[in-house]
Amino acid sequence: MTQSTYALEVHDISKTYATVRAVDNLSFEVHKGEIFGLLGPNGAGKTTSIRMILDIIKPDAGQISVLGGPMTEATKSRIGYLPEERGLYEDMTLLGTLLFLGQLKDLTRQTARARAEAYLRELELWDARDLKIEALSRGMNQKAQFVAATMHEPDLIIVDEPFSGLDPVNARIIKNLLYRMRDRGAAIMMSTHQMHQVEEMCQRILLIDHGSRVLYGPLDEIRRQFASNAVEVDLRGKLGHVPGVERLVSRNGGYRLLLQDGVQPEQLLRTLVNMPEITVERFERVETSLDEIFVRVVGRKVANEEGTA
Amino acid sequence: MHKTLLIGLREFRQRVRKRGFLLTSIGTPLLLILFWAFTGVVDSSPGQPPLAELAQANRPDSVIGYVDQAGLIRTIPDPVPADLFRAFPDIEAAEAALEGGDIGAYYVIPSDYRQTGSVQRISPQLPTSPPDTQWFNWMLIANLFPDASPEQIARLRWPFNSSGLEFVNLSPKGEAGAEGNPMLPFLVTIAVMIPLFTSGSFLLQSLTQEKSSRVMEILLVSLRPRQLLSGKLLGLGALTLVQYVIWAAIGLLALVVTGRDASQLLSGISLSANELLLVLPYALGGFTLYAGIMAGIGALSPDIESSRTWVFVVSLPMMVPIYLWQAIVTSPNGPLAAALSLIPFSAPVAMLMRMTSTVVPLWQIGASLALLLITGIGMTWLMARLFRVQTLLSGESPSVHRVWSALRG
Repeated sequence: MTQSTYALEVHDISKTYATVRAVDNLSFEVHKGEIFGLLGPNGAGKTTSIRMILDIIKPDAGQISVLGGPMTEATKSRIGYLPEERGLYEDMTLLGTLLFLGQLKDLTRQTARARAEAYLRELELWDARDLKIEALSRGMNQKAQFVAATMHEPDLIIVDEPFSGLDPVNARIIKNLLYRMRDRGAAIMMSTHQMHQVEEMCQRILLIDHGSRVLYGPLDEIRRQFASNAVEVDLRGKLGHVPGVERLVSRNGGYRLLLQDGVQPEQLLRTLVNMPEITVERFERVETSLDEIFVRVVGRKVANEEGTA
Repeated sequence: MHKTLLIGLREFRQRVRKRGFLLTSIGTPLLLILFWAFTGVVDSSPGQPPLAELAQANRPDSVIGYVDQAGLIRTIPDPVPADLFRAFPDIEAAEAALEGGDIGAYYVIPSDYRQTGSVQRISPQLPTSPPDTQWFNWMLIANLFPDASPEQIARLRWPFNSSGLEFVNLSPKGEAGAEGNPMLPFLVTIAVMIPLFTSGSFLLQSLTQEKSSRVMEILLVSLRPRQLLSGKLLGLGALTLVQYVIWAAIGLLALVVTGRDASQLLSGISLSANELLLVLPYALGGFTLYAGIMAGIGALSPDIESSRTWVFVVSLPMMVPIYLWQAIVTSPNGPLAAALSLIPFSAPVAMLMRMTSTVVPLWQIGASLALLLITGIGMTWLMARLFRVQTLLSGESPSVHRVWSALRG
């Protein structure tokens, strides 16, 4: 029997609250050892999907396989969860909180203590271990939450807006910790609105809107799919008419060239190189940012809905 | 079970260190002991002459007049101050003196006083408790019985002092000792009730805090809602037991320090050792019932503010016997007392109140305990139905409709 490469398999799950279809026939997989981006506008059904995956709520239909099977008590201890709306016991000390939550994840008290100490030292929180949670700064609190969610070294980590409230230095620390967990083989599902973080960290993404899958797959492919048929060039000499170019815009000392349908950038590069009156210094395909893709996809859907309404 | 224990242990550890718990656990019994010690001091001095009470009475600021139409007052006896009262021949003279500010008030002893016993006191304002009435009373008795000694006058004035009237019940329990105090049933009931309310409110606080601080979502990823509920009940049940143990220890310490006999105290509150043991199942039943209800309210309330009205409503049945304690203690085997001690919501308080006052028929104790425990278990089961994730993570305020929907699932 071969072992599945998926840490999470979601098949056609749906959830309806009263008359609102929060999640609608959603399917996707998260591989072991990858950072997977779960994207979507507010109210798209991300949190409901996460809660169904975590077995906090039951789907009305569909199946979820977590770490190779249905959710059990033992599986729960192999999952780390950092919810978007965070909170810890205000009246407990930092170390006390971590020991308690670590033991709830089936760590022995000794192991929980050792792990908590290692994490707190790494995140420069060790000196604050005896402070009550209410006395911690927002950044410290965020890091403490992260430790609480991951100190049991889970195989599936679900993080909702992991960088909110963190300064760039602390965001970098958390990012490195996530990379380390991924390298260890853990699957990480990250829900965030910070598209640059997704572009930097995620191999694959799922974009949902109104509970349905809108985009799904490797990030590179999605970006290629949405790439505009345009290139930017810096050159010496004056550019006149170029075959295959529909429109030419002078921009920041260079040019942006919008290609005619069916013309590939490689063809254009060959044409430009063969033009004796110019020397090409930079040639770059214009990539569409994830932010733009997000706005384009979600915005298009909104526009369609408004049009049909 | 491991996670249930962890929840229980955390709950216990956090709450046992709270200032509120320490105050209730140590402060309340100390107050009760102070009360007991105080009443003991008063009661332990039955020989104190009532004359002293008179001597302690405040002397009025002004002279008080009197018009003796019955010809009764011939002397102003000791210890009445000689210059306190001034005689006037008629009402007009007394009225003029009152208007002139020479006197603060005056009494009129009508001619038919010996037959009617009625006396008037005239003053510019209606006083609530004029200090001169004690003195005037004494003066009247002394003049009605001119041959009586001050001690005899005192006996006529106060036929028995506060500890001089002993109520002897014909039942075996009625052999009340000198420690007997009519407030004690009330105090014992309060002592049983306070830990129930304390643990119930702790449970409510704990749940609403976990919901408002969003810890709930983290907990629910690690354990089942039922484990959370049973852990909390376990921890707070242990806390209640600790509170009773502290109270018992402080009580015993007080007995040792004051040199009093525990059996005397118990006979004073008419509670036998066997019946004292019944406090435990009543406390346990009360805890199960009210903790279950509080857990339900906590599960439904997004924060402590929105739970207040519900707490008030569900606490009312337990408070009814407190409001009616006089009626229950006066007629402990009457229909009102019996009914309240059979209704599970008021039973823990009402039955203990009855047991401290009389011998309760055994069948009533059995029926009351059975009803209490069945309702307690039923209520906990019912409230556990509210411990669903959707309810626990909801931010809505509780309403009758929401409770009904949640219970129906």
